[in-house]
Amino acid sequence: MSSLRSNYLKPSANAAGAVNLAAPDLTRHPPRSPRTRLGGFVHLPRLIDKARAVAAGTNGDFHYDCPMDGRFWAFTGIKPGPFMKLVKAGKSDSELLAYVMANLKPKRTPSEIKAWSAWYEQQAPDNPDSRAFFNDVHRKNAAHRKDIETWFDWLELDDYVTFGGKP
Amino acid sequence: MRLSQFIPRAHPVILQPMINYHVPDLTQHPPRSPRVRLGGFAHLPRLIDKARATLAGTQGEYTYDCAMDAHFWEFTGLNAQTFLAEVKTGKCDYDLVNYVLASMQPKRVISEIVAWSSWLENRPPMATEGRVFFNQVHTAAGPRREDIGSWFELLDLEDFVTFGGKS
Repeated sequence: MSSLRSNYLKPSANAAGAVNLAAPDLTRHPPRSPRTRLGGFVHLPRLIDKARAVAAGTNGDFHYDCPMDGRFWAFTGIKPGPFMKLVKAGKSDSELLAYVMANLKPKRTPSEIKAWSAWYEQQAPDNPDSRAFFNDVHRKNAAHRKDIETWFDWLELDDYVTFGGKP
Repeated sequence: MRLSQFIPRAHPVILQPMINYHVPDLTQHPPRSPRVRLGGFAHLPRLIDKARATLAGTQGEYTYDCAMDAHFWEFTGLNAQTFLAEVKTGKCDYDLVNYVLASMQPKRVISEIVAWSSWLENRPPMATEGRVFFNQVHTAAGPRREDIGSWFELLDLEDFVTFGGKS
């Protein structure tokens, strides 16, 4: 755990060469882990990072509105186009979460959001085509790793290897 | 061949290098989220990132063998110095998790590891001093955020804000 930093107005992003998570450059670093949560929603911080990077043209090989994002749209009723407009307007994480909560259709309680996140975190490929794709990438990235069961495991491994990690 | 490559740029573009997870520089980017898993262990990838950075002198404000790391030592029976020595040999993630699984006392089955990870992931501050500290960090990093209940949520928020994110 890091020590208490008293002045968040001078974040490390100001240090030369440091990543700036307000303007993610996904050619330099991965988006936040799909397990990271915002308002209880897994994947939402990652989705926001990808949206900000696409808006800035710094998304590299990462895609906005991919099938993983599709599960968030399906659960929330939010549409990728209007959401992207808010991202382009420079909304913060809190403001984007407020938009999501105000526009959820149907409305969801915190326990429903938590249950969805728990479900999503455990999702593994469920059809032959996606399983074959999953397997190809797993084999390419780290065939020796036996702990890659879910899409979240798979994404984290891919992020790690893509940015220099030895798995 | 593109004509544009012969047109001199008015302002030189300074390209920042990609981060390298095998040699993490925590003055430039945060460690992996505590939620990221290795062999089913939450927090272990973050602990490894902090260990590698500590050995390289690039840990910045992150601390190896902090109170959160202590939960891992307690569960596995490992200790900080022995583990650091393993990291120092240059082992990859896979070799490190195999070391953990071979050395942990008592031995644990995967369902116990997953249960421990779930417990750690959802753990809020328990002691009154810890709750005060938690509140100070929460207030400094993102007072508008009302979804920060656990230490993992606080760490994810703190990493985001420390590296420029707008909470």
